[in-house]
Amino acid sequence: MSPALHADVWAAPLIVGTVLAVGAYLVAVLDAAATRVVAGTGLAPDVLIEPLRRAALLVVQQRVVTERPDAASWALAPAAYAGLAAAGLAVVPWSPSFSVADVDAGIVVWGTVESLAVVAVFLHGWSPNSHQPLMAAYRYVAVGLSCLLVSMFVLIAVALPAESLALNAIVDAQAGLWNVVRHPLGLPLFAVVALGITFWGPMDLADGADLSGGTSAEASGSQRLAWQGARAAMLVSFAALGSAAFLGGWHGPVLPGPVWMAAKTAALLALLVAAGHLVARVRAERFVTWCWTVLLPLAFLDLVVAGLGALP
Amino acid sequence: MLTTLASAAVVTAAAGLAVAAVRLLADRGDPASTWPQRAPFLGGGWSETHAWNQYHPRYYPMTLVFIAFEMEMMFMYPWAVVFVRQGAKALAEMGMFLALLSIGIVYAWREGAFRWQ
Amino acid sequence: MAVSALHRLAAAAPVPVFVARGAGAGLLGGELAADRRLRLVASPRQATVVLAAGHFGGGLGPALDRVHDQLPHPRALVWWRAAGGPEPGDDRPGALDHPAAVVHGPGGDVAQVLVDTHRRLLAGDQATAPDAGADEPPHPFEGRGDHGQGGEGMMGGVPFGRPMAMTGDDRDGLALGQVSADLGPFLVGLPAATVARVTFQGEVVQALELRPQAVPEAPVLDPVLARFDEARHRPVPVAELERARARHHLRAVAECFRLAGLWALAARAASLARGAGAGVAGVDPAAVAALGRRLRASALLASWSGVGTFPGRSPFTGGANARAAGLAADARRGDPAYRALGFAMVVQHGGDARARLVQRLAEARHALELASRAADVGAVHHPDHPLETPWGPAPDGGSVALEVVAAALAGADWSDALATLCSLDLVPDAAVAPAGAAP
Repeated sequence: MSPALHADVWAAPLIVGTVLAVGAYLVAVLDAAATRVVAGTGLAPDVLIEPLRRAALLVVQQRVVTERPDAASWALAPAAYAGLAAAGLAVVPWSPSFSVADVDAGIVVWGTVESLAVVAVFLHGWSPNSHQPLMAAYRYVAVGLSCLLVSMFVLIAVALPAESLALNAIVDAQAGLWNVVRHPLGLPLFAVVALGITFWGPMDLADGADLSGGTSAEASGSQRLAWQGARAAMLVSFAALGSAAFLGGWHGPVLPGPVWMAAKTAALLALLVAAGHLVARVRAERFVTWCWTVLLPLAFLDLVVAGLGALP
Repeated sequence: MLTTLASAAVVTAAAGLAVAAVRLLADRGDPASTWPQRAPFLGGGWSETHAWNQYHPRYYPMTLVFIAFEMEMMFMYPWAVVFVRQGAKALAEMGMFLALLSIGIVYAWREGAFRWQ
Repeated sequence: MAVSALHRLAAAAPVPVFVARGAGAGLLGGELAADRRLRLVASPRQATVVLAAGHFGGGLGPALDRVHDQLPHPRALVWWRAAGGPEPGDDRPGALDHPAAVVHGPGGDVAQVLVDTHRRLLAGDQATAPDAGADEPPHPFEGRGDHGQGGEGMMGGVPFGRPMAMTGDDRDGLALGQVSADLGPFLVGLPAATVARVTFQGEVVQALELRPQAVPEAPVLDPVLARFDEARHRPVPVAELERARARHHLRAVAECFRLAGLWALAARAASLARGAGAGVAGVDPAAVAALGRRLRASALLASWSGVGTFPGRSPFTGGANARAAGLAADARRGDPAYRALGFAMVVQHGGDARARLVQRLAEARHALELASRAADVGAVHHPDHPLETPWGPAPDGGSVALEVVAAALAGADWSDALATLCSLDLVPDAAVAPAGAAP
């Protein structure tokens, strides 16, 4: 192995790990801030240290196991979910010359990430061998599959003007006009499916309160910490993908590319986290029907608009 | 930077290992769970059986329609790359494909594939 | 145990509290969500402290033991008992011997006790509470069966302590797994002190039975319950009655928000409920109207429309549930004190969970307006005039048999069933029935 490759093998996880760690912390801070603002309990500087305190409590608490869990899958689920978030983030470009993994088919990588994410969440609910997590896992799969389809159409629409499935090329193609303006249906649809696949806020059917925390109902201590961290990481990766695919990525005046990417990612994160506190959880059956009969045709429309716009 | 798929794989493995490390470090010194602690949480209630069962997912007809659309997605990945070169002909072909599959959705909807009860 | 930096950091975190409501506790405990130092959690696996509010006789004692044992270490139990009622050990033979903090009466500073308990636990000053149950599997299984795991053949025996669920027929012709379980009584959405015996196929409820667990004549901890009990025997100022009513309805709305995943809005409703109980200054009805606007913006109403309707005519003859179905029945119309204040009834149409939620919020706001008018005039409710409690007209409560509700929920999704039960705000008859009093 060449020395350059040695360095790359260490640098890639370091960069992605740093972005995910900072991003997960930001998600926790935004969540705490949104809770305080909506609840009316008053925003205070201790919202910055609250996520660290809660994480410390989870480290200190005992990790309880259930009677006959599938221990391997239960341990694997947060690791797989975090790994998928990292893989997704790796293909997102940060500047014209830099992305951790400059893959020719970044959109296909994201399709894989989303599909396997559904599996990881299902595993997390199936493993404890407990009734409420099991129901939550099965319920989530229906929503996850439906959102998967819509997200793929929306991302392929973004690939049309770039004539490539690589995220680098997609960002390059937005030099003149961002995709959020070129295909206006894209970003709202993407926000809905991001919330659906990361089961956040209105689409929190996997960890919902009506099932006492759903797939996390039996998770305590380090298991819970790992799962919450993985969820936040996935949200960060989705926000990064959304910034690259719809908000013009690293394009922007004056400031360097990575700073713009970070700013856009943070803005999308704030939007997604705020939605969690302001919109009630949907009914699974109704959402699945709505996804197939309303969102999917809208995604087709978005595809047609993108196609017509891309033709010379 | 690593410009191949290998870097995505490296990063995935690293994230997985990091999570595992957090788990191992935090679990040091934890007491073993006792049997009352291990009972599944049912709001103070009780279940006679294990939770694992031949679960009845109500949305299985929807998954069949989903598979059909997955196959279309496989077609669309290369289609998206050559679309601009092929021009309006490609758009027409895709429109036909989507229209045919949409008839499938309408049929499934009318037959109650999306209704769970 | 050395106190590390991690422990110190964890001690300053918002205290995760699991609230277990027994008999006589109404919807108490929800108001703690408004306190920034606490965090009400849905599962005991996240909690360090379990707050046992009310009386735990009958079937509630074993349920509390089960939930207490499911908390991870370090853990503690805090009792919240009615002032002058029996001590924790008296209603539960074999109750936990480990010393636990006790808060007496609704006026006690529960939040401070919870915070102190958490801090002491994490600083090592308080030992973690031991199990209440014996350290045994549900059925003995070690060494039995084909591979020593307790099972027999394909699905028989008790592998790892429990049998496997068998299959049963269902509506759509498939014969898949049928699971029976007792859920509750400490689940969000279930009526107070009630266990739901459910038979599931998938997520759909095939059969539901609601079993109240409350012991009759349990001491009353909830000040709302106490106030309306008192109003049956003694003259009570209308302002206080109406404020208690508003407080209860706001708490019920907070429970609905909690079920829908809107934790922050639930905390807001909880702080309004606390304000309504605070005193003469109380809460501005405009704040309740603002909460109503947020409710509409949250799409919760859209999510709950069409959920929880009863087939045919609504079985309710009184109370907020009947008024949400369009039935114009309110015992306050027959009370001259209210007529003098210009009481006007609030009615919705639809009879579904959405209508009930809107009805409760509207009644809370209306009650606050009545309270401020009554405080100016000094109106008093006399016990010989009809009394309208938040659950219906006293003494029979205007409630409907739990069997009717359970039968209507058969065939529904479990989450829809919970949404219906939460919106109905049923109270076991023991809480509103007269304690042996003559009519």
